[in-house]
Amino acid sequence: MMKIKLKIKRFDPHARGSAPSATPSVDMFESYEIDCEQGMRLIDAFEFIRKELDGSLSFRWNCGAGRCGSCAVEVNGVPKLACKYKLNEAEKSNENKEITITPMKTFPIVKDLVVDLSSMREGLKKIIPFKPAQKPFYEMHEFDIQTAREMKKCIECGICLDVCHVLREHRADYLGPRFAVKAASLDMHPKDTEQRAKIMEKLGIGFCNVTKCCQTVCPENIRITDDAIIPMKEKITSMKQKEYFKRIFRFGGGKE
Amino acid sequence: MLLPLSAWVKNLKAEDIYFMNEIKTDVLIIGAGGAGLRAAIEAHDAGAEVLVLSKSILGKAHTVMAEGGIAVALANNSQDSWEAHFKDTMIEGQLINNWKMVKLLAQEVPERIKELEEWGAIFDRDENGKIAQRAFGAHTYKRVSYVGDRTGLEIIRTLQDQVIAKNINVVDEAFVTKIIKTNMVCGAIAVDLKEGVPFIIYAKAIIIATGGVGRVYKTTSNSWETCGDGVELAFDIGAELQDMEMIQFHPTGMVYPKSAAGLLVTEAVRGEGGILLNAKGERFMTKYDAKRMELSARDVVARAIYNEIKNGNATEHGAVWLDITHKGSDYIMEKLPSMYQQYKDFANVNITKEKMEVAPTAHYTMGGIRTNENCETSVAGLFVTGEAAAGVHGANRLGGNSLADILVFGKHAGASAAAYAKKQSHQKINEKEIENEIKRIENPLKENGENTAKVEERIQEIMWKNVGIARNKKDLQNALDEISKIKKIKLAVKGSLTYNQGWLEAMCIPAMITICEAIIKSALAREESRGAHFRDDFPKQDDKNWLKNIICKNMKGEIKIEKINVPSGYDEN
Repeated sequence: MMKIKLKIKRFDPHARGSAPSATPSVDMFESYEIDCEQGMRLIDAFEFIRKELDGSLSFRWNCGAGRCGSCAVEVNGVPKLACKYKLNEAEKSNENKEITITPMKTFPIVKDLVVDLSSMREGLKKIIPFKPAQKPFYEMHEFDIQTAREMKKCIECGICLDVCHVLREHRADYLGPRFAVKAASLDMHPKDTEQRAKIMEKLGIGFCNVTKCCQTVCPENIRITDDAIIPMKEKITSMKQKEYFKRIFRFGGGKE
Repeated sequence: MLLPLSAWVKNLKAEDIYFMNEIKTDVLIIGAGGAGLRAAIEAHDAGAEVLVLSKSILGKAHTVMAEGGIAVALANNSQDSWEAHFKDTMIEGQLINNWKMVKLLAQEVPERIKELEEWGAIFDRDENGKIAQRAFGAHTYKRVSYVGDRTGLEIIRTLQDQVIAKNINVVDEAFVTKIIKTNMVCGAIAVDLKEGVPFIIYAKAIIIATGGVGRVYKTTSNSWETCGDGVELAFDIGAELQDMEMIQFHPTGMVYPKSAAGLLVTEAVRGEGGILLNAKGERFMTKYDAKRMELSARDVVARAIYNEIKNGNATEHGAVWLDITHKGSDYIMEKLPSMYQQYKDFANVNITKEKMEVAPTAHYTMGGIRTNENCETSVAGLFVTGEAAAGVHGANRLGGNSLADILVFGKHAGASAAAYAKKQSHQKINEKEIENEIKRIENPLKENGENTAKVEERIQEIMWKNVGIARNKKDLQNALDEISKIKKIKLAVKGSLTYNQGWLEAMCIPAMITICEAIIKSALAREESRGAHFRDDFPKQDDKNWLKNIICKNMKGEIKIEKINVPSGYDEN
């Protein structure tokens, strides 16, 4: 059986200051060597460490089936769902059989690998909710709902926000790809009557320079850049063009 | 209202309880799955101030795991009616359901679906642009509406959007350790897991929406959260439990690799034409239910697979085959994309070309807190909804009926609790009681004792071995003895209250023990086989003596079993 070494970042808010604690000090790495069983995933390794080696390790998970999006962490700096990441993948790509696990960098740390995801909920408050013109039952056709449905696959894991270099490196005034996905899921609903281009512009979608990082890492394979961000940018541009021509027209006509 | 988190006291000791944060609300909802959120929306709309507490993050609850769909008699492509839905549910529940609840369920789901679409949900469509409906086990008509195989995700996301849009208070990652009551509920004590501090909630009415108890079994499709702590909270303050012996084993769970064992393989695979084969390649359902075959009721299919495995017709990993390859790659990719992904990710199996290995997995708790069509319990001010409640599903739940249940009775619970809260005022909570609870919360952090994870595994092992698909008196008695030994074990946990999985286990294990005792004692009492409850020492169903519900009452901490007749009046309907 293969042995694999996990180098895990530890952080304990209660260990700050003078009080001695059972958990290691403030901000450091700890290594655990474990036997890599057939098909073992990162989340299984975490559970093994917690049960057998170190009960104080904190991490977040729920469904263990890639459906809830609770367990995202960074593996060698790349965000992954711990319940989908297989350790033998690491074995193949890594000669010294060591992987480094850190919490998602874009979010504040709560403890060890657990980060504070409340910003994801706060962000959703800023996006205008669904507003239909008529009452259901709607008649809709498969073709019309395809894009909205693709956007609705989002499991809110936060990986796209973590990998986004605008947020990661520059902390710019940009809300992030997740919210472009949300806005697109509503905009693309065939019965929706709202327009979200204006609010998305305000929320800094212009900062995105379409490097498609988020699209590459999305565990649900949502084409975030192609189907959510770029169409939204196009809408913003055409909205601005319209405003521009309106202004010119007003000058020409001499009327307000 | 909520104080800023910085105002909270760190490293709280029992002497410091006066500094604890307090929240006042009309209606407290414990659990933020589909049922809890639907209840929150309803109570909010009825004018009550609502607080939702959730053990995990908002939107991550177990509802996301519901795959196949929601049973609703829309009759978009059939002669379906609510009466037919009602009848199917009663018959497969083996007539020990509360028929009044089932009637409401069947009548009101279409409204709830309509409402979801009004809030932005998009169900899959048929060729006429109407909501599509697929076949599911033991439903007479094509009745199950769906969103691919992630129906639960769509439903919880839609409800979550409403909760956010309506600005309903949610404190997520908070774990309720105790409900406090005098002659009615007064509030609860909870621990904020992110901050690691306890706090008090004063509430006029409380709704339990904490889901089932699947995690007391070793092989289960449930996540770590679903360990029955919410059901125990209610039992602890005197609410009665009902039908606890009725645990549904889903026929098809993943088996291999070990890490994926128990993960659900949706019934939609069989609904879309998947067939079951044993290791010899025989389509064995012909022996058990030649008429309905793979789409027979869940208890029948689960027992059939169990028998095949027991009789030596099992695959290498102790399972049977589920085969859908004959439907072709395009069809499978369109109808079952998540299932394709799940097998590819977890087992490295391509379901469009290879067979799946499946075996039963503990899936759903038909029993739970005893309630009625208004979601009331035997405790004044305490309401219950969703999987935590008993009554709707009787002895066997039909696929698609749980999502229907959470929407219909989520709404009723919210309405009932809001109406009740309107008439009440806030009660004082005894300080001594708070102090005792804080001591109990901190206890595992101070004690010397055993590893919580190991103890939990022992419980799960005992239940799986002795109280599984086939039961008998000897095994059940054995399980009861083993569980009572575990009761005496002291538990110890390292670290603080901040995001400490071990501490959560230490708090949940006593709850699991109570739940296990309730399951075992109820299973011992029911000396017949009915639905999901199969006794090999009493293999026949006995309608003459056993059209009864088994009730667990809390007699000063001891479980007392009572048998009562099922609600009367079904025959006239």
